[in-house]
Amino acid sequence: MVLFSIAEPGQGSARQVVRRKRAVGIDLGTTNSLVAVAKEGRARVLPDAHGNRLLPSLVRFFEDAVPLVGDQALAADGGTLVSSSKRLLGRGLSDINYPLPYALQAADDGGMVQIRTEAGPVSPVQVGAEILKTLAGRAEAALGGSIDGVVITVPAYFDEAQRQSTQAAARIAGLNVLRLLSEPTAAAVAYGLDQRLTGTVVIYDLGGGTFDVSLMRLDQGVFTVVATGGNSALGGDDFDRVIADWLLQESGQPCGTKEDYRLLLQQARAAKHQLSTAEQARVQIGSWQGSLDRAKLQQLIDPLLDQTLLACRRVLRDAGLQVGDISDVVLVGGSTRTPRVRERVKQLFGREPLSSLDPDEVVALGAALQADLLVGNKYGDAALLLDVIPLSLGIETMGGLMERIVPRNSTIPVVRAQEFTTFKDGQTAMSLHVYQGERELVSDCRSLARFDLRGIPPMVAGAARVRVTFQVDADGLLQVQAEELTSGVKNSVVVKPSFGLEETQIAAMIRSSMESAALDKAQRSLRERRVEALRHLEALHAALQQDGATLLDDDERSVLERAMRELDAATVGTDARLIETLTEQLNALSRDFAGRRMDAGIRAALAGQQIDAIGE
Amino acid sequence: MLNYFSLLDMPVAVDLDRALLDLQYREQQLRWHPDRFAAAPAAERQQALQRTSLLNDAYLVLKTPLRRAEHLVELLGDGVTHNARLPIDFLEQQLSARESLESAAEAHDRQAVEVLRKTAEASASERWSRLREQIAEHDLSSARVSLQELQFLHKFVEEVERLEERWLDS
Repeated sequence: MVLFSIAEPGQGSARQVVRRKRAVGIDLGTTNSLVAVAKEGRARVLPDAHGNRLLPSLVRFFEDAVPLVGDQALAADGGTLVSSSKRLLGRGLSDINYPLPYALQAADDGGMVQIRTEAGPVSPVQVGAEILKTLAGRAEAALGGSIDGVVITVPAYFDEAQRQSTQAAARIAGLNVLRLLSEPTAAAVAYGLDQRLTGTVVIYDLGGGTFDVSLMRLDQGVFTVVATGGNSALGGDDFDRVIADWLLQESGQPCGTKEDYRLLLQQARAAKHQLSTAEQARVQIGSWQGSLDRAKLQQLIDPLLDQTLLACRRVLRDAGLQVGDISDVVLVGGSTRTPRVRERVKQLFGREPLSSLDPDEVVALGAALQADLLVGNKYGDAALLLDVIPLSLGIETMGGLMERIVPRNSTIPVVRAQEFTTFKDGQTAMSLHVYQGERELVSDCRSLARFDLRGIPPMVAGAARVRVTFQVDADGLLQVQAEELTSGVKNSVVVKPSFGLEETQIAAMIRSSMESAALDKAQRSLRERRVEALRHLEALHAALQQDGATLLDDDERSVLERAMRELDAATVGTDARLIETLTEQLNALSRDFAGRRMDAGIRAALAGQQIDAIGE
Repeated sequence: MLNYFSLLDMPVAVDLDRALLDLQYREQQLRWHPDRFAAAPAAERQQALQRTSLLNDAYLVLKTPLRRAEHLVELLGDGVTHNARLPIDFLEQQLSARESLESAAEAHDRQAVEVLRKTAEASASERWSRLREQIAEHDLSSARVSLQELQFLHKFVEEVERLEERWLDS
């Protein structure tokens, strides 16, 4: 009989089916990270093999083994445990003015800060890459294949250096980044697509260490960020700090060491969490016993919440809107679980805020929806996201002043040009220093890059016409070009932030990551061989105990036992191939024994059946 | 020079239908946004990037009345930008308004600030009607004077708003 293959005419083989592309959204958080996938406008978080949805953003580095990530990192001992590395991305040593449980060092080139670990100095970018690899692995396992692209979320207030560092981490992890997406924007996408929300929406995002507020218009598949604002140094961690300080004052207990204060902060956090459901939380510090109630908590955190509400009002003003124009308020971030936060937000906007999507998951869900669209899995209404730059971009002019070229809240992509001139007679070069920020003096803004325009023909001061063009693409990444118009001399830079990584550094990290991936694979394979060998030995051991005496003669038995001892010895070593060979050898030697046991088993079973049959 | 009105398919005029502008912008963005070209060749991606950058600029100019009028006068004058000479009595008025604002700010005199804002706004609305006539009559040099006066008044109102914001925040 002939079997026909079923194929559409002209399509060649039936096997050539257009595969739905696998794209995921990743929320790379300070405390926890997660990965989600979307299909036809619905998104879901991908849990690990044990059903855990959140991956603690922790990596433990060892001198002579591959790093462990997440819960595994937490459970293991030894090595160096790195937490909150997101706060170090794109930052120099002098930016870090708070205590961390590990040591930092300046990079050789004075660039991004490095973490001292047992595995040697590690860049925060590499820490991020480890977390991303783990999440990608989780997604590959769940979706059954390699990932075509990812959307990674970043706080709206992330500057150029922080965004580029996030992208570098993804490249090191071997991921194709479709887009970096602001966290509040991602949350709005989740509500807009998944929950079909429309209108003018405020996204109130209070995380552990940052506060972001965004105003968005959600309208028939087009989501426009109207304005964003916030405070990059205000979050739930500050709640813990004010509670801890109050506890210290109340208890009159001394707090000498950093470790004491760390434990105190833990108690403060536990009390805060209890008060999300209970009216009162008991606290014990040393011999002192006391309690914190909701009224006191309110009194402590209200000044902090005032600051967030002020930022909300400012964003409304930036957008030229009134409270009455807002159709919904969405809560994002774990810190919005504190009931007082909800209450104050409700007071300001005069409506019950939405939290139908889990505030810890909503950002990843939105990123997944955007990833699915960007990778080209179309469905229903076309959705489009129009984002803005969160901070103004400009260059330094005479007297250390910031000349804004692209103002904040400009819709991206955006291109803006401005003309400058020379200051001295015969000046042939111009140094351009690019800054990001809202302040008037460049010393209060963040330095992004510096480059020179050389070869300007000598002219009297003020005669040269240098046009500086800023181009910000849809990822929010900046390219600056300078051109002297009378002579046509040009120079341009893709902005490499002062605390970013050089291309060569990224390449080296990618190489070492591939090597460690090979090492990782070898280690995993060794572990698997060992487990298999031990399982086999154990089974054979039990079989020998049961049937060895009846089914094997002495010679057969001693050969088998020798092979078992050899394999047993090999499992202690690290040679995966030897374990595999010896396992195969043992398999071959025991096949006959296994066959005899099977026969004996069948005979017994048949015997049993016959008895049963007779019984019928 | 680039005509933002035609880029967004809008009639060339001082006043425009904001809802129509929003709609045109949306349509063009849906068609040209780089996200639509995520998998396209680099050259097309670059084109999408440039096109949407222009669209964003055009939209910003057209939705801001004063910038829209400036763009229109520039278009009508074939891209020529002149710095108009402002009448001396207008400049004097502006100087004294600024002085009054400063002293009102120091004295925290909200009522005086509110009066100054109202005066500036009335003055601006008078110039807007003048500007409409001047453009209709194609009197570009007078239109440029009106535009520049409007810029002064606009900046003044902005300053008042900033002051009021500071009071609101504190």
